[in-house]
Amino acid sequence: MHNMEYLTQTVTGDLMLISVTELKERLNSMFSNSADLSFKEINLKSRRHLYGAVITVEGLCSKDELAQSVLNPVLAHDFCDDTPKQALNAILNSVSGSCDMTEFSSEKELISYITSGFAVIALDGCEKMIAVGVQGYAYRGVSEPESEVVQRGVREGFTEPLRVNMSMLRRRIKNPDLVFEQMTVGSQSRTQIMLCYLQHCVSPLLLRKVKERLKDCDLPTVFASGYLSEYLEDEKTSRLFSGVGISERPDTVCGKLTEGRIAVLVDGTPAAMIVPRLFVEEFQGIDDYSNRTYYASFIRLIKYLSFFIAVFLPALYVALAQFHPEYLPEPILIKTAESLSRTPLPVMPEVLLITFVYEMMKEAGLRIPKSLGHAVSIVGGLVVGESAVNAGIISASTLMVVATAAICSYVTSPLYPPITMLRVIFIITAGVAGLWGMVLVTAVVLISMCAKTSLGVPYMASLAPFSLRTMRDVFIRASWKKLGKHTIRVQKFPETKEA
Amino acid sequence: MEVKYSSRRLMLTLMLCACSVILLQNRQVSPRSSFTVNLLCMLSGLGVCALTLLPSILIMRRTGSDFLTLSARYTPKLRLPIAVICAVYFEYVAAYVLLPYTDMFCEKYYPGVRPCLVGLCLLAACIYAALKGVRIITRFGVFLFVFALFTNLLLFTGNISLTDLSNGSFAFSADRDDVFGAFIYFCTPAFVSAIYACIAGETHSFHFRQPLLSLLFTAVKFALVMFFVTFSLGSYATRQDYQSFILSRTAHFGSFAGIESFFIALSTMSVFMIISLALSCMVKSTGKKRPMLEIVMYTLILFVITLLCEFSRTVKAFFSNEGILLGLTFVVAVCLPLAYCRTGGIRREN
Amino acid sequence: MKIKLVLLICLLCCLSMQGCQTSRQLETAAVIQSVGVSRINGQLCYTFYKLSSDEKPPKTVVPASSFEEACRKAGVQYIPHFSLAKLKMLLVHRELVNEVMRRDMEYISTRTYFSPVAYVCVCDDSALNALGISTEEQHEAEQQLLLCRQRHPKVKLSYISIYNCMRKNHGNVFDIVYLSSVKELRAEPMPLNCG
Repeated sequence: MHNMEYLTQTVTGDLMLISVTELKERLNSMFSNSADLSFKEINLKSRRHLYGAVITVEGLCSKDELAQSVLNPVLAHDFCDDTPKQALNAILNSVSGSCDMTEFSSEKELISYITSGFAVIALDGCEKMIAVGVQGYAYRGVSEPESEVVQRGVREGFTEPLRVNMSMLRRRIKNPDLVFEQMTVGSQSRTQIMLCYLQHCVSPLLLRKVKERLKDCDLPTVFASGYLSEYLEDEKTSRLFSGVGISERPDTVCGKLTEGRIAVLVDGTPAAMIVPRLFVEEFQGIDDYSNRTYYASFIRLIKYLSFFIAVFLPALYVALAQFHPEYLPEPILIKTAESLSRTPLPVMPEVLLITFVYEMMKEAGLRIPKSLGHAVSIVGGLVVGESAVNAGIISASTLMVVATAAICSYVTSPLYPPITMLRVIFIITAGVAGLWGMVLVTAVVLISMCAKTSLGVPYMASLAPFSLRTMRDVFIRASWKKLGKHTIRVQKFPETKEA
Repeated sequence: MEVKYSSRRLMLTLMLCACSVILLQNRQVSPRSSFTVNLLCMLSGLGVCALTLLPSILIMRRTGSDFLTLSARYTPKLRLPIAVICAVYFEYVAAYVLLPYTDMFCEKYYPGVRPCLVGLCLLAACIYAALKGVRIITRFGVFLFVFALFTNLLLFTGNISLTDLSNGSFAFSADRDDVFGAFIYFCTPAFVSAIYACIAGETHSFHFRQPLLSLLFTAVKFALVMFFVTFSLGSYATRQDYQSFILSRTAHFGSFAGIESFFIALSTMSVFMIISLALSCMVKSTGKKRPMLEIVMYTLILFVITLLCEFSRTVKAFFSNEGILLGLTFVVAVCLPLAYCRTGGIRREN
Repeated sequence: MKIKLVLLICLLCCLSMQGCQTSRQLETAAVIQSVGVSRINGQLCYTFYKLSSDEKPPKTVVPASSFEEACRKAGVQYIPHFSLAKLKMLLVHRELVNEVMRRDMEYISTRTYFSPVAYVCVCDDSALNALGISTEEQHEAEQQLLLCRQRHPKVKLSYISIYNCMRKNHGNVFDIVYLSSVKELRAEPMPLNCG
């Protein structure tokens, strides 16, 4: 019944026409005789020769359900001397076996219902109509999310239909505290989005902010959650790192909800946006909470190390090779110098070139058909890699450095975009101003990260502003006995702007 | 309403600023005096720093605010003269810190680079930090603190193998002129009191042990640097400027050396933080909400000072004078807060 | 936005002005591993041994009256882009100790780029020649120096410790390492009068 209520809340409009023929003409005109609009005229068993129509959009509703819940009972029923209005009431109250039915009278509602997969029953001479929930369209089944693979844990990921995703959350939190609040965004696409939060955990101020920002979204179409994430970011803060988290896993989302966060599900997107998002969360994986404490902590530290390697290693290599060769240990210095002396390009352009080539290959690998992927790997690995080194176009040491950084950047995959950008910035800085330039840019980046907020919560919270209480799940993961004692709500982080 | 931040974090940041004085030390503090005498000079110097903090602490305890906020609230007519005093003082502090840094960088770390260009790049970064405000700069201080710990660990442990107690003396021998110079030198970290005087009101949860601990850590850092300069570098320390830098060059672990890069990184970030704080204090004294223009203007003045210092030794000597710095510090960190200490108190009682 | 753009352009200009022209490219830099001071054909010469993967370390002989002059001439005439930051050993011929030791040590103490933890020792002709034969010999010499210090803890090996002793014990005697190579490389303490 939720469906009906939500839809009636969102649509209002003019009164309907009374004649079915006029209605048909009107709809055909509005939909420009669209082929998928189905207008099945029906003659009811009645002494008054009641005439009506069942309006659907093909492909959005289940034909079996339509036959069982609407056509068969309505056509079989004897309406005797009922007036159209009485007949409509009879259909609503006794004839149809569907539990998902509602009466309405406006044109906007009519359009909203039929484009949402409802079957609409209209009777000639009656100003009201009935919408029957017979939705049944093809969608991808629940499968394991590809971007958040776990070793131990559930294999269920979000899928495209909003209701399925909602049910996945509800199954995990069987608690009336879990609230789904529907909104519609996109003036043309009229995309349904669902705000999910735990009533007693969420900060009312954070919730208000999220609602206000989503209401301010003036996009005509919203086809994916990415369209909305920018609207959820705080104004005047750095956009390099994202203040909006994305997860394809219902268990991750449930975990975040218990910490007072708000999830936004978008119809047609198999992922939830979670706000507020903190920097330290990028290093937390769902596996950390299934593994032993010591191992989870070890992996956490590896992730932080990988982040630093991914951002700084190529730049460090450029700075050392170009400005401070004396800092390299002797064996590495000799080998690197020999390797570099055989290549035509200076170090910085060489590193940049390999970085760009790698990014191109990655993009190609993502977009080409899977059957060609193998061929591209061979071309990338052998031709661009080994052959270029053998031909003396690039040096082996440079290739190794860039490859190591590339591998490390996937350890914290949500941070891949900022890591890539920062890597390029640091390479250029290192080539121009050496280690000193890197230090200066690091300081600026740190300042911008410290200044960033996500819904008023400092993005670098736990580290700066430092909070010992929240450090139990930052560099090391404390045991569940400690973590489970009390949950730290996101609005309780120091220096959170609640006003 | 602006969210207040922890007083502990501000003290941590100020401690890092105070420690930068020893990072930029450009001569052996008192080469003819023993380590013990230098240590005493340092302790008395830091004692003076503690005294200069007292008026601001008093205001903070009584009103939960700082003298700049009180002046804006109770004596709006004095805003301009106070803004001028603050601008002059913090320009001086920024120049006092920037000049030895650019010198050290261009003389020791990377010869051949023009000091004004190093200064310009650093100042451009400082503009960005100052625009973000003191709260953000103190957050940056948390990361810098971790980096400082790591660098100091490398610096000191890397010099242990060179330590030879016969290089210096623990005996109580001193040269009178040197001792006075050393005492004045160790009073220079008092500029952090002036910074504190301007921004203390933005913090909460103040406790007396915070400044004490900060000064104690600063003292430990100073003492360690002095110890290693005296006993690891020995006479070699007198041959070159910037002893702390030389200490980082001599630090090594077997064949692993190059600690000076960490040292330069630490000094760069410390100087970056001090100048950003100074710019923020200057801007706060003007009371502007959107201070872009003011920050750029103050930075340009600072850059002009750096340029002048590159060409004129007199100007450089003026901006490197510890006496002037201490005099100005006395005005900003002691006199002004003391004046408002009474004002704030009286108004509060009313 | 305009201000940001102008600042960015200024920053980029400055960065490009200050760094590129002074960079020491790794592939062209000559990293000096050891320096030998000896007299060749009656002329005081400083031999710079470069760090290399070759069997025989490339060397450059610079005739000069002092280390200061040798460094200046080396940079201008013989080895452009040379770096002494990784210098491991400074070997002075035993006959030249009195002539060059104090003067060169004084000069080095004023230079930042010289590694203060480099080894300084005295050696004979054959030890100096051995260094030029192969890189292995250089490693062997280094090992011998370390062994000697292990056996005789009072012996002064690093530049900074020798310099401090020279300043401290003016006119007195302390031990440094003497490296000889009659049949094989051998290091032993040798008293040095720093008067």
